Amino acid sequence: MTGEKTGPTLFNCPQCGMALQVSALGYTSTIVCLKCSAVLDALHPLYRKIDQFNLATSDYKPFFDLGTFGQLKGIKWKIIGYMVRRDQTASFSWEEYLLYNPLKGFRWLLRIDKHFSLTTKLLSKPSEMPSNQVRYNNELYSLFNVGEAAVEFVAGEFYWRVKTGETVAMRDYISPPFMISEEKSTGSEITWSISEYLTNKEVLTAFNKEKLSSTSEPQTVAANQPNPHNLSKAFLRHTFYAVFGLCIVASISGIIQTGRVIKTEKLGASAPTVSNTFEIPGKMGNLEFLMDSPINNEWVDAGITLVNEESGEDFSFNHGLEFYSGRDSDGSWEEGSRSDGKTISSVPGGTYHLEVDLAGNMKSPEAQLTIKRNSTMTSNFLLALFLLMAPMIFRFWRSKAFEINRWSNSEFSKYATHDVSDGDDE
Amino acid sequence: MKKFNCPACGAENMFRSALSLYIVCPYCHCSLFKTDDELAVLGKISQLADDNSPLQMRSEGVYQNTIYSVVGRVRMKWADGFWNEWCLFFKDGTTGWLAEAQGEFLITKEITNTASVLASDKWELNKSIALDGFDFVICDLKRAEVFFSEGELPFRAHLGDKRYSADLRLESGFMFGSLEQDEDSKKIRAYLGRSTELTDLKMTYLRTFNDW
Repeated sequence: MTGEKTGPTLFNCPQCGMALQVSALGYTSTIVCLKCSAVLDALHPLYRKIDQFNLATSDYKPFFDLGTFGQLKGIKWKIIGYMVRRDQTASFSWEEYLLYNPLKGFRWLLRIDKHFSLTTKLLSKPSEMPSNQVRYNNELYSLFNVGEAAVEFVAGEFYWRVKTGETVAMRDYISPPFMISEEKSTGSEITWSISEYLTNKEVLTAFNKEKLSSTSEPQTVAANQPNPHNLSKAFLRHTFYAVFGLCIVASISGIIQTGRVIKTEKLGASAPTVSNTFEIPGKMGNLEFLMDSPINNEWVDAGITLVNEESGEDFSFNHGLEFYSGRDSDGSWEEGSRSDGKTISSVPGGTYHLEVDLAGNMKSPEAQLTIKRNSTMTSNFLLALFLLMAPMIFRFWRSKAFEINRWSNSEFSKYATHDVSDGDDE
Repeated sequence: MKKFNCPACGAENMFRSALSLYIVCPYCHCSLFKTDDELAVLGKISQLADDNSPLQMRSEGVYQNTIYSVVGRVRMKWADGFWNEWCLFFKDGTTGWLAEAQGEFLITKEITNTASVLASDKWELNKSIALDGFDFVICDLKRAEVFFSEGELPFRAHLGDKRYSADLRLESGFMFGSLEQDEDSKKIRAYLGRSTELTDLKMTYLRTFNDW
């Protein structure tokens, strides 16, 4: 019977005698000695040497020891291979750990700039979409990086033939926390894989490296790192309900509509009227001028000037009324109004007087002017509105800053490519 | 099921599938090939030392709503590695295959409509090829030979028997096809199925692994 033996096969490196093991029995095709970097043929009964890497192992000390077990997302994996690859166009390198579980197959644990991702080979090829995107499982991924990855260092066991100087053309597409990568080898073989971002804590706990968590926290933004400031749907919904509620309360209680009456002035005669001085409260706000006149098939027109006694600043405008009524074959009709309001905005508080020149075709033009200050109530409303929206605005801004930071590492940024200033980093 | 006595060791054996033409005696490990209702002894199959496949003889699962059990296996060797092909015997009497390589599982059934299949000298990487109405692309070509076999199989799989195989995939999706040519008889067989994961196959009687 086959398959009674499930432990690793132990042997010694034919070149340096180092104790080595094969865990992925029946799958492993190449073993690279952890000590002397001899490349050994796992298909050969005596592990014949087929190649030699000439690199100082000490320069590429793995973060995780080969042979270590760890449980990620409920599945136990053994680290059996270690590879350092370098993007030759952008000149940065990263670590890849080959994980093995006999019932689950193989995965890769990537460590790029202290960020971790778990990589799975895709069984189905994503569809290529216009404008540098690919689609997989109804999710769109945007092109982030194009490069050429070369194997820089390698140790342990692998299910393919590891070759020195091997390079692949890579394209990474992101939709955090996922990244889809296409690797095209010179032999025209194309493989697609998906990488899911893992937190440092998750990975270090899984492989019993919690003690290192303080020194190994990433300082950068990874391509597929989830945006911690993203506006969740629930958050947007709550903000919407709060703002909606505030608007309802405000309109029921009349806060938005009517302000406080600060001045009434009777207008009449033909000479310009100069009013008593009066105070306009608040710092800045609207003034509503409500004019009433007992006109009947007549019109009145007031030239109004509001003068700030302290600064001399004035606001001049015209406000008129006309009202006509009659009766014809269709019945009675009316046109115009005996009462109308006019609002001027941005009037600073202070001491004011009015100069009004009333004209009209009445025998003795007369009207009443009522001035309402909306400012105090309105600013409360606006303040409440702002307080409700502030967290959203703040998070939106943080979220965008995070995205700009992420995309500053990409030459395919949808944000301003030539002007990503330091001020955006927060 | 058809009982017989091993012509090499005399032990009582049986074929579970009427389609099987080849069997390895579980007692003496001789490979036996059915010819004209006789069983010819081809030779001994040496036992596998290292193999961590999660499958084993008598593992069971469900595909297309039909229960199957593993009744045989052929392990192929090519220049850079191995892969396993497990022979599945379905409750409805049909045969299927579960190929396994690097943690990917390809479950297929043989199709008889091979009219559109190109001659093997026309097989090329990235070439389009029609199979059962689907436009496949050849994504892998391998020359391999039988390294090990066990149980019963619908064709001869003695040590060193050579095969030329082509893996077929669609532009996108999980569908999978394969073509295999026996290098002796030159007969081409075609298979159609899908790429899947072990958990999707709902298998039972899998091997257990102490370390994991």
